[in-house]
Amino acid sequence: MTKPTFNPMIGPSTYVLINMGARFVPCMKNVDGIQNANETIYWNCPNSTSTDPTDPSNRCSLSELCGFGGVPNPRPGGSLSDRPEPNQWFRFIIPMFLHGGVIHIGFNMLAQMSMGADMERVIGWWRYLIVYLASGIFGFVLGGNYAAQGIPSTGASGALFGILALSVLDLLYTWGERQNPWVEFILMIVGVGISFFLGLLPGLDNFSHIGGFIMGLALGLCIMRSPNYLRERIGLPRTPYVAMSGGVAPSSTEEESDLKKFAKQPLGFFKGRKPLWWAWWLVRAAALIAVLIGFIVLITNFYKYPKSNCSWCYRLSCLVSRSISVILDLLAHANDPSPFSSLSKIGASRASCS
Amino acid sequence: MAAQEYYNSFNTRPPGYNEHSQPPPLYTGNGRSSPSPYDPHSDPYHDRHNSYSDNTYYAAGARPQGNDQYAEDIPLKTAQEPNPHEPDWMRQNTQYPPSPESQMPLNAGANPRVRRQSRGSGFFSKKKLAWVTYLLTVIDIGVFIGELVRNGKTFVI
Repeated sequence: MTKPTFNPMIGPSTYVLINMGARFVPCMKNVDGIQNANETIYWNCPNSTSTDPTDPSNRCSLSELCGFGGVPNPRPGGSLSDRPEPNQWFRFIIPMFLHGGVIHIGFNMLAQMSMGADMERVIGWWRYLIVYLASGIFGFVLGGNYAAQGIPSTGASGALFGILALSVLDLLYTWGERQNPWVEFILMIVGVGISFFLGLLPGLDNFSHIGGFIMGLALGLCIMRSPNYLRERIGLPRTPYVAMSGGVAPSSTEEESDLKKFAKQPLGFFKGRKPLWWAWWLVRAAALIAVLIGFIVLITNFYKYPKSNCSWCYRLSCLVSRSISVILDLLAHANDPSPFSSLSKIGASRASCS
Repeated sequence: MAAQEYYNSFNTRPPGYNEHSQPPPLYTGNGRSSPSPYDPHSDPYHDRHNSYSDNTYYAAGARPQGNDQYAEDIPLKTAQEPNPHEPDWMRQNTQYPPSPESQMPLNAGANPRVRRQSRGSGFFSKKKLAWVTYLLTVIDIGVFIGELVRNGKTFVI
């Protein structure tokens, strides 16, 4: 696992991760420096074990590296408007279940089994699943736009940051009812700090963390119960969460009757509400709309622009990764510190962190 | 049981349910040469039937029916008409109310895992099972093992 480059997460090689579905932009669209290169670019194969660029295991085509049935290979002297372009859109979704190494999966599963399981018990499985998947996908979409294009990204981190956002909301909502709200708050901050440090390492990126957190906040506002102090003020009953499956709890029938009432008289639902009720529902609706618009804009931008339209953003994901990977590579006696030698040689812009 | 003995003390004989498959008691003390336990005027079951009008529990459990010589005299389950001369406390139901466990459906009570989780507060005894989280974790770990296997193959080849 130390060849061709040392993986600081202690896990499979980067090329295996790409081949198994990591978010890797060159497999998803035309990228500046690849499709418009004047020479044939050779990629490290998934089974690469050597750092020698002339080794046959380092002379794969893009299609062989991407796998999943292959992608159209770039032709020398082509242009960014070449069609068909690589279009493995599912690389926004499946990297959620891939991890870069033992450290990566260890931290994530620890968070998932403690914080995630608690949150699922609180809000029920379907709310939990919606937030989990939406946050994960949104994080990878954000990363696809703004992270370094030549660096693959994996991990459930984005999804877990969405769940973390739910925990933050839950903590804020029930701040007065908790015994040690500050202790929990500081623990969350420490967790976020660790995750952001990990996000600076290659194999995962901070954009999935940020995107997951944003999506978690927005969806949390929409699908979580309003805080009790607000419910009292806007005249809603203090009801607990109801699991979707059972439907035996009395409050679920209440909700049903509310729905029926709403279907019969849509205007009656809005009649006689307090101003704060209006403000709060406006906030929740705005959060949902904003995050949906953001998602659409990001997807559109991703396929519109062959390179990121934010010149410095990628550094957010790899401020220290260069220095760290150099040190680790020295420790591992690797000769080539850059994991994407071919890309840096052709001078692909912002292909990697270096 | 104490109440039972109390009621039976009004009779001329000791409680009949102790006599099962025993010789007639010798301590009747009514002076007759051959004291008969089958004397209808002193049959304890008749008296007991009258005074225990609604407590059929003991009557049912007192003795097996089958080839019992007393069986025809013992109304086991009937006798619901209350005696108006009895005080109220005699007709009180002295049984405990059914426990909540016995009211639960059979499968819920029979599943020891569910029971254990309802109490306790350790790491493995939470109230609910977070199935989606467990499923996601299993998928993540499985995929990671798959990655390692895939990666390991490159060294073999």
